[in-house]
Amino acid sequence: MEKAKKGFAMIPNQLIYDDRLSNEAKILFCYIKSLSSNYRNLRNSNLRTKLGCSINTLQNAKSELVKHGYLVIHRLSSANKYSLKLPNDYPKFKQSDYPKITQSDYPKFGEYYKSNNNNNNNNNNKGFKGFKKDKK
Amino acid sequence: MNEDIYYYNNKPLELSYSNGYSMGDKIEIVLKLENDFKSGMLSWSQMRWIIENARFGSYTCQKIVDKLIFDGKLKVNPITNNTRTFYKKPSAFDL
Repeated sequence: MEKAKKGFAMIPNQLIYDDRLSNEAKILFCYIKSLSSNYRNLRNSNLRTKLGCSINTLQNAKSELVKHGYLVIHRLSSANKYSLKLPNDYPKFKQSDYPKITQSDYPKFGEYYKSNNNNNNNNNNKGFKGFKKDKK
Repeated sequence: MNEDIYYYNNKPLELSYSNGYSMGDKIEIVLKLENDFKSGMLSWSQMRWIIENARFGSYTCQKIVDKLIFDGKLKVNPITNNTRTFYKKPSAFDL
């Protein structure tokens, strides 16, 4: 019993200050969070004894957590696997909010090098080693 | 070593170099990773899974670990188990 009292669990503030959830749902989240992720295969009977509540209360707490996006239940044969997550509270981003960048917005291959040649003073007027070309 | 999978929309994260995420999805994943880490919901094993399997968000995880090492909060990199950082510390002349 002493061994079980050791250690700690990190609980997100988002859950603590969420007014939509009941106390049982928060306690259920805390209990699942205190377990290691490999040991979250739990039966309802075990959860009932740990939390000290009836099966109806337990089902209500689980449905609350699932509804608000805190809990994902993976159905297994004998015991369910529980995984925790935080709901997304920030607004959804849309593709239409951003400008479409296509390849045509960039300079074409030939144009880029043409402009570079002008900067390097390699004019076509000059011939070999900078001598002027003969005008015909 | 046990590795926890990180889920986005109840699916494991896709690869960083070949994925079907839109621009909005990508921003949302990065914000979600940062928010999860701040609230203690992102474990080292999940970060290790993201980085070693080259999932989208691996750069964000590497930056999170690097920042902790630069601030002196971590001495050993928990992903690689050595004292090296993923990227060098930005100097005064870096943009």
